[in-house]
Amino acid sequence: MAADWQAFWTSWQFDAWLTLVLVLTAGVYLRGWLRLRQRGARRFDGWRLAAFILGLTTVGMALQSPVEPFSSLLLQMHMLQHVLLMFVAPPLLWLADPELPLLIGLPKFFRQRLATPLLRDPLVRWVTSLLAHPVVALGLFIIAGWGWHLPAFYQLALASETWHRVEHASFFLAALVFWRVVIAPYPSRATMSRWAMLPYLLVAGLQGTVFSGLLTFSDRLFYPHYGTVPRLWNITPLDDQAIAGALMWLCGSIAYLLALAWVATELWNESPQPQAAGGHPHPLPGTLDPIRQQTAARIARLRTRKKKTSQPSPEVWDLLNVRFVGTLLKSKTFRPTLQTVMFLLAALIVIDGLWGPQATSLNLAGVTPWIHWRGLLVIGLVVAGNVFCMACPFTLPRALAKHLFRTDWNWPNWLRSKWLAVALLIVFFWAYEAFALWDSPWWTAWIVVGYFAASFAVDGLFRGAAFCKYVCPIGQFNFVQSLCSPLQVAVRDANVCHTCDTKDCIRGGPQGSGCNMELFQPQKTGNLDCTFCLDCVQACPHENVGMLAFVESSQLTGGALSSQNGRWYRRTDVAALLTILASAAFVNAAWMVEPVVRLEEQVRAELPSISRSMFVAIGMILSLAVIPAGIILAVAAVSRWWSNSKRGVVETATRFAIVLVPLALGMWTAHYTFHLFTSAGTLWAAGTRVLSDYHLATFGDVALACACCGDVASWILPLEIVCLDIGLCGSLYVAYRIACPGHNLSWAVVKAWTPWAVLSVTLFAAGIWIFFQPMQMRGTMVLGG
Amino acid sequence: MRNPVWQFVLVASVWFTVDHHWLHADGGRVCWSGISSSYRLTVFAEPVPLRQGPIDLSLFVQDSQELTPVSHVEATFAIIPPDSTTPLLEAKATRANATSPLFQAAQFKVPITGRWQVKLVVTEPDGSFFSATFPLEVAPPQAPAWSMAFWIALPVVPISWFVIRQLVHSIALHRSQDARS
Repeated sequence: MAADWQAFWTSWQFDAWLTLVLVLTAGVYLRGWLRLRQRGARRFDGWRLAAFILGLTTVGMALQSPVEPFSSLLLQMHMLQHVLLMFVAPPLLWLADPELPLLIGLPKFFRQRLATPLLRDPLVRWVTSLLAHPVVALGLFIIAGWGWHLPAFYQLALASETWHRVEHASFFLAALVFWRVVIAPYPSRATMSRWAMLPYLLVAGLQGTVFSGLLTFSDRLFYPHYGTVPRLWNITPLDDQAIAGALMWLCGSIAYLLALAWVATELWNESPQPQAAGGHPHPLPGTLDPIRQQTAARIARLRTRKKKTSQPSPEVWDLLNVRFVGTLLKSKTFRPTLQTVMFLLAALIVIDGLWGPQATSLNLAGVTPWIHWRGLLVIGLVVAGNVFCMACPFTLPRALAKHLFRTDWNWPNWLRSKWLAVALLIVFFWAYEAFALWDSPWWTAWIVVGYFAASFAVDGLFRGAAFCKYVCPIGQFNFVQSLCSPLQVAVRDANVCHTCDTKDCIRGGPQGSGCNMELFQPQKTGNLDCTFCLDCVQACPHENVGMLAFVESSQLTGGALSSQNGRWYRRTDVAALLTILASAAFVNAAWMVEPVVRLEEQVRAELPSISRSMFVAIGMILSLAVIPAGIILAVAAVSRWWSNSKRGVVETATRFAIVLVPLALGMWTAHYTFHLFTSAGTLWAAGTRVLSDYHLATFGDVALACACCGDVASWILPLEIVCLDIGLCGSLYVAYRIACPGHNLSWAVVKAWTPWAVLSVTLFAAGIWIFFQPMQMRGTMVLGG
Repeated sequence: MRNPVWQFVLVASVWFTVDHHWLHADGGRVCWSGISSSYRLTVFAEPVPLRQGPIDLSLFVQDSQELTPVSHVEATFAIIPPDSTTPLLEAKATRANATSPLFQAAQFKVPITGRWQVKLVVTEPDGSFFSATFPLEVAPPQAPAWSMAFWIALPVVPISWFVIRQLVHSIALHRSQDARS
């Protein structure tokens, strides 16, 4: 075989993402197709499945076969790619009637929670109906075809991989819209008479002919790129252009002719009598086929269920219902085991911190809490919920303390708020910076010891879990951030609670102790103060408490009771906690970037009489409490004044303070996962060092290299930005929902929302600025840049 | 996630996310083309325009008479900084670095902007070699924020969608209220 052909046939590519998308799509279609077949839908026969698989294969061939690398050398190859994406793949995909199989083939959770609400969305329906209009579809098809083939845009796509992908995506999407109108796949209905397809296809064919003719017969090279690249097979650039034009002409004409034949056959066979499913592609209104009947019945059942209760329906995904995981979580020994493991880890950290070498990156106390634990904690919050409190080792000695002290005092009324926790949080963040806790294994070990002592004393003397609820700064962090978590410990069926007399979930009963945090499940609407201890799950005699995903609660948007928490939007202590944690997310990250560190040095040089700890104390009080409080109150005042609200400034501020939680979680996640992903190897270094101290391993160069910070991978910055992106969207949405509880958009709503949106966007910009600064690689051997 | 298929999909997704290596590009713009004794050589450079930072140089070798691709030669790129005559970086161009077996590619990280020189050495199996030097204009790097503009601007899409959705919903609501009144 000639070298060029050999090169051609061996130039297959493998794009993992594209392959994954194609395989997943095929899998979903196959699942739906099989289900529909089981339900007796005869119209979904084998050739439709074959058409769908062939359509997806064509997309794969266009983008991963040798056609792709050769498209930058030969215009005809590029044109072949476009032909496959515009004239072959889309009709094949629509011939498979993919909408119903794809919907039914989705996993239940995605179908019910994402796809169905999306398809019912008025905007989606409006856009879909707009795109189904022949004039719009034809217009898009022509604009995409002509627009991208203009020399300036074509050259742009050839020079940039990103624009090349955008070009292919727009061709494919425009073609999908165009061919959907022609084929009108089941169960869609044509918006116009099928006779309209004749001029539709004629116009499409005509413009295609004009374009192909221009390419084929022109003696001018349209795309200079192909004049500069090396020639293959002795084809001159003009010949290449002519072949490309002819290829498009031929393939386009065949596609349009086949489509005309399809439409003509349809019109020819059109019968006035409606037929059963499988017999007629467009059932007349009012005549439901079996699939439609089943779907309608199912929708009716769901609607009835929804009317009965606003609480999560049994359709909600419940982690406790997952095989093995659910059994494990519900087991009475699971939490103590988890806590014991964490206790042993904490003991190791304390021992190494107090008696190990004080080299941060080689000491377990120097790396584990500040790099690994924090990173895993926020990942746990983002993907699940408050999993750290579930595994918290500090509460393990609680039973022992209660047994030893034998006191059952009530937590003082004047301390029954979040103010103490707010103060402790400020002290912690001050100590973190002032004494560089992250750089001191010794101090870290003492913090762990102090935590155990405080927990032991408070929970030993006072009733319930006073330490968790009113004291623990880590717990407060977890409670607040878990307001954005997907999982929530909540009742499965509210009707069961209505008939329950024992209230074991809070009082306790024969099956287990009730909630130590005094949260009453039927009234609990969020994760605030929930430690995910699952005591309520075990105590409930009706097995009516689960770990539910994406419960439609008002935990972020206000209004509802959160069990014993009261209405949070009236509690200034909760608002203060939210504000402190939101500002700490930015201050904590900003204090380790070069410009801020330099600023601190400059200011301290101007004020030599002030010690660093005093300087940091002033800085923390200003940046965590005074300035944020001032900003929040100012924004609340503007929002209130502009929207003519009758609420006071403090009430408005308290109500809207929760807006910052999603943005703060985005920032915490970006910050902590940055350290986790850049310095994960330090665990290996510190672990090997500990083992080598006991002659169980050799501490070599590899372990030492792991203690150093490496290059920051190119995907980390985009990941950080995406975290903040999601946070911004969440914050804007929460602000909107608080401003507009009744879903009725008005100018007053916009005016109330806008100041909070401006604040959110400003914080987002501040976060982006922080990401782009050189950052101290804390916890590793090298500092700076 | 009870179904093992979905568990596999989850694991596969994680694997793809963690382990995915993006394709090397052989495209870009032709930055030099020349003819040696028996070969026609074309060098592509990417990104377009070339900027300080990572760049990709790809070589396409053809028989000068037949214009058929040639695969039996070895090539090395050396890049010489502005105002210098000594190469700063040198790398062998390999097919493993290229997407298409037609090309031999090498990647460099260009540390400064300016007019660099690229020295290309092509060695034949019998040991004879051909070398050529050509300039390469390297522009300053994009501002970091600009290079991440796509990710920073990402929220615009859902926010716009939501705003349009609410407007459509609000207009429909007002119309129905007007109709009722």
